[in-house]
Amino acid sequence: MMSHILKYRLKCFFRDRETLFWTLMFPLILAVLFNLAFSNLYKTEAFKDIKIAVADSAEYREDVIFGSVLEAVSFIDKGNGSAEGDVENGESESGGNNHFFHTLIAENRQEAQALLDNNSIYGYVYYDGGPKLAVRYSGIRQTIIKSFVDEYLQKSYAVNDIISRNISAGGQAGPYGTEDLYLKVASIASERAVFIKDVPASTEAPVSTVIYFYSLIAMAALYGGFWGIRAVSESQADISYQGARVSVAPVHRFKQLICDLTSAMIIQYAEILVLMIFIRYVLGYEFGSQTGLVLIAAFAACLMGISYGAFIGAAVRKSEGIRIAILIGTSMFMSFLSGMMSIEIKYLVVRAFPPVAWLNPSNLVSDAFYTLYYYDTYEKYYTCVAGLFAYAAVFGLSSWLLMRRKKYAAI
Amino acid sequence: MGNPVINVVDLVKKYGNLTALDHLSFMVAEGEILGLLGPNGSGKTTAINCILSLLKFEKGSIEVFGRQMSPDAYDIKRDIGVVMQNVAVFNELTVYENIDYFCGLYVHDKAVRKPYVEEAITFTGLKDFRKFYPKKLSGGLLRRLNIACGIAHKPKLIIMDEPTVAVDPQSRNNILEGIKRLNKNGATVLYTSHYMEEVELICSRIIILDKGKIIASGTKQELKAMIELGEKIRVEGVSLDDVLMEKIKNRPGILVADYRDRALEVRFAREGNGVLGLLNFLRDNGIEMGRLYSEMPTLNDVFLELTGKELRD
Ligand SMILES: Nc1ncnc2c1ncn2[C@@H]1O[C@H](COP(=O)(O)OP(=O)(O)O)[C@@H](O)[C@H]1O
Ligand SMILES: [Mg+2]
Repeated sequence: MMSHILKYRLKCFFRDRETLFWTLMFPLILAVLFNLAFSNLYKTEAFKDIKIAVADSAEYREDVIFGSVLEAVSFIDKGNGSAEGDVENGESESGGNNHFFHTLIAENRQEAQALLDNNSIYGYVYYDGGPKLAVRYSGIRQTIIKSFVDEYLQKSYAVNDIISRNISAGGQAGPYGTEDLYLKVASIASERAVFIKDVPASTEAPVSTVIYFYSLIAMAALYGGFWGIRAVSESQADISYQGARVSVAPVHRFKQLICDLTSAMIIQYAEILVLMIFIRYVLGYEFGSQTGLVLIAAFAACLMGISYGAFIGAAVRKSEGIRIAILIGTSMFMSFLSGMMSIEIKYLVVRAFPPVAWLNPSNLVSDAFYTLYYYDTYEKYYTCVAGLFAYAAVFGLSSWLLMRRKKYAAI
Repeated sequence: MGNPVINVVDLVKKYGNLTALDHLSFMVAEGEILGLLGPNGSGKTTAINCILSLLKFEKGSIEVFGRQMSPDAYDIKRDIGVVMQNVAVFNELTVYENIDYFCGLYVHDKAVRKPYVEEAITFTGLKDFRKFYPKKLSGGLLRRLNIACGIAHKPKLIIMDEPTVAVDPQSRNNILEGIKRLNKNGATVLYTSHYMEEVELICSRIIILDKGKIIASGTKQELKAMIELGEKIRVEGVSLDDVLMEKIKNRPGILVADYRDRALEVRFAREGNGVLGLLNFLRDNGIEMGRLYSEMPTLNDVFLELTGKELRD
């Protein structure tokens, strides 16, 4: 009999156009839009030299990694810094084709500011406890400079993470010795350079853009809550007519609910896989080589999303509209915090409110994918996936406690 | 009467301060069609939802097939067919799939189920619509689908809550005929409605409900015998003067007489044989008569006399 229920519930779900829109079409559309934004950004303007400056300072000289990364992507103009001409008159001719930037080394911040003020450069990098960026206008070139610096910062965050984990793991005795560590750091630094040097004509965007897509998958997983809400609504007598009708049939409530949620899970997992395949093979953003683990992370994400929806369905006994508004609102907000609109938000949250980052289910999803893609160790991945399963268990159990009531005061 | 299939004793159900069922006791005997008749808000749906263990109640006991009813009484539920007041089907499933889905919750063997589903489709006249989705069905067809989903598994007891609300006359007759057939084939039926004609037409016994209380029960003859009214006649094409009207009003056995637009309307008391007397009186006074209509008292008249208000809204 369970297969009977399962079969028909799946039919219902597969034909539920509205929910299919929210759980599949909407994320696909967002993915296309994201891709459009990134490819435009990096295609049309990317491989022309953009004039920038670095304000020389002791801190800059010490930051070897930044220096080398910058070098890798720039034509470094070590002249007197008095580049002539207006930047708006065209791009610098002196740079090679493989360079993002035509970089001047200014003697200090004042000089760099002067260059910016007379429109000789689009922006400059100065040091004030780490590299900072100054631009005058916002425009596509400024955005490129900014995304470069951001990406560097984010990578150094990754590097720092590796370093601190090595230290906490006992320094030399850790999986990476000090030398390993430097190799690792260097390879991360040069990866960027290699990436840019080797694929000058490619439309591929920098590595960090994958985070946008991972956050998008996280949002899609949370939107799986639509199925959870539907499943729960249609099995409760006080919420839907179908729920009342099914409640008078000789089917155990728990069995019925399990069938409903299993159907929800099947369709949601299928949808997430479609989304991921689309992102990977149509848009060309990678997930790393650990396919099995990627699939497990996706599964955990779906389970979390469905049970989140079930929880909303069981806890919010208001109209369907209110339940859906809550689901969309919270999902969007969590995905926003995990970097779906801007990666800086993600790092801001990590830095300023670490517990929010650890607890945010959307962050757990995107981090699980990102760790698989980026790191060689799995510790964080397993933490994220375990966190997702824990969420699924908590939401699932709470929903059941809220729903197990069988007779109602009013329906 | 046969064995009690449903036995409700002293049922009290409140929604907050509102007492929806006020010490309600009744039983449904095996083989009968019991009609629960009452205006909107009289507590019919509440009573049914209590019987089905969907609602908690303050007081009372409910037995179905001689056993205590509860949400977990799956063996009892297996033999009940429910047609709820609100259409409860799935919009993404076709007519056939909906019936098969609900039937499959009761009948697990696919081979057994298939002919059952076909029978239900034929029975409700949905043959031409088996591949239709509910959204494409008219109100009447949708109600028929709701019924088919409730009865396909051949239940011993069928509970129907206003299955004909907002249904076209053709579908309504189709549904009422169907219920009679189900009953002939052995099902016991509990049927609620606020349409007295329906209840009069199909029910072997009727309970009249008002404000959660039973105000009368019995066969329709018994119910009509409870009140003083007899038949009502209308004579058209007559010319009467005030003197004659006064004489008519004073004749024995006449409760109300009214003359308007050359038509005479007279309501008789139940006792006596006033109609013939009146017609003789008119002829003796040389009055020409056109058409003559006669109407027996209805359950609405019963309701009116018992409660002082109309059954219809
Ligand atoms: N869910 C509910 N909450 C509060 N009052 C209700 C609810 N359902 C019904 N009632 C009230 O209980 C009474 C009986 O309603 P109901 O059983 O639906 O009557 P019927 O089916 O005869 O039209 C009405 O006064 C109605 O307003
Ligand atoms: Mg009702």
